[in-house]
Amino acid sequence: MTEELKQQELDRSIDSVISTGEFASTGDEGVDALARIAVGLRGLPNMDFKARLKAELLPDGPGWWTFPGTLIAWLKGLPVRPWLRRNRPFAVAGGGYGLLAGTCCLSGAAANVLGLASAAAVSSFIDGTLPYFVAVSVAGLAVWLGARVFLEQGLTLATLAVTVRRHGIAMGSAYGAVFAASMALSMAMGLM
Amino acid sequence: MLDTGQLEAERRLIEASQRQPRRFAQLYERYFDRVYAFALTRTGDRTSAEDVTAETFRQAFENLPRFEWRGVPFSAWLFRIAANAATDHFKRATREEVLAETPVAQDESWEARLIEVETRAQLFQLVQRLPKDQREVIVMRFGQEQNIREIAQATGRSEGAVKALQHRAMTSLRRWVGDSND
Repeated sequence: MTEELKQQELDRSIDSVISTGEFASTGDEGVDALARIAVGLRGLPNMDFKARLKAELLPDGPGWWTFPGTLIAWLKGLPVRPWLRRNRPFAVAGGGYGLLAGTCCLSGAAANVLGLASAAAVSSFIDGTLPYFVAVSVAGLAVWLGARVFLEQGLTLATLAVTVRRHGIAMGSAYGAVFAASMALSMAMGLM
Repeated sequence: MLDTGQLEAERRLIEASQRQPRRFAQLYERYFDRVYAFALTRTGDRTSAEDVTAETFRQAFENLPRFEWRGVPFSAWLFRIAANAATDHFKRATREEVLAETPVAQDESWEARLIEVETRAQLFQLVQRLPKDQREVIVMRFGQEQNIREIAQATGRSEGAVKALQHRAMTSLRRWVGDSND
């Protein structure tokens, strides 16, 4: 088969591939091999479509720092929400046990507001019991963490260390924030 | 398969895109061919593949801030979005009775489909390596589905010259595919 004839045969095969998605053998092994490549090229992406879609997703314009709107979009793009979602159970547990630690402060404040105990009595109660509440809450949080790691990955020093490294900040900061808030309330009321 | 270094680079790019949405352009360029090839393999026609590809990237762009890196290639996440988008596309098309048949071969294995996707995506990328005149012919022939006469008129060449460029381009692609499979 001459070169020109091969080119014609290939073109006919390509026509068939484009219209039907399949190619019929021409009897020439070389042309058939090229036609098989054409099957893979069928539907080659249209570059205009690719450019249009990109422009739609990421419109050209001034830098992100130029306008407050784009700055807000950038801030929204920060991975805060994924971080919160990933750490939610640990933050909830930390907050819950922080609340337990602050229970003596909160219950004292409530008793004082309701007129059930004087400020001096509440202050004495908080001073006397706060270390126990803190100890119980920390122990409870440690047990919860150990149980969770045990159930999910098996409790070893390594799994515990990895979990603490990944979620310790969320758990600790939630514990600290709730506990600090309860103490701040008591302090503001002059109970501590 | 991506090696550890490539996975790490991918993770950094994803995190950069999460911080600065405009960096998504790099992810788009990197994955466009594969997502499109996946969509084309699932749907079987260009218009549907474009719809599914567009929907996939819209969803990926929208949900990227919530994407959590788990050490799995980003393409797996994109393919999952694309598979759902293709399913939705078929449901809509069936409701509207636009498509007479579902072109997806249901008995084909997932692995076979992935190989087809990768082969197509590789070919799409290899086209960009062709010399400009050959690439132009291939893009017009397969990307815009023009015939030889139309291409000849558009490029100011003879039909014979266009056929010769087409043949040369296909020969190069065949050789490169062979080389990469060796």
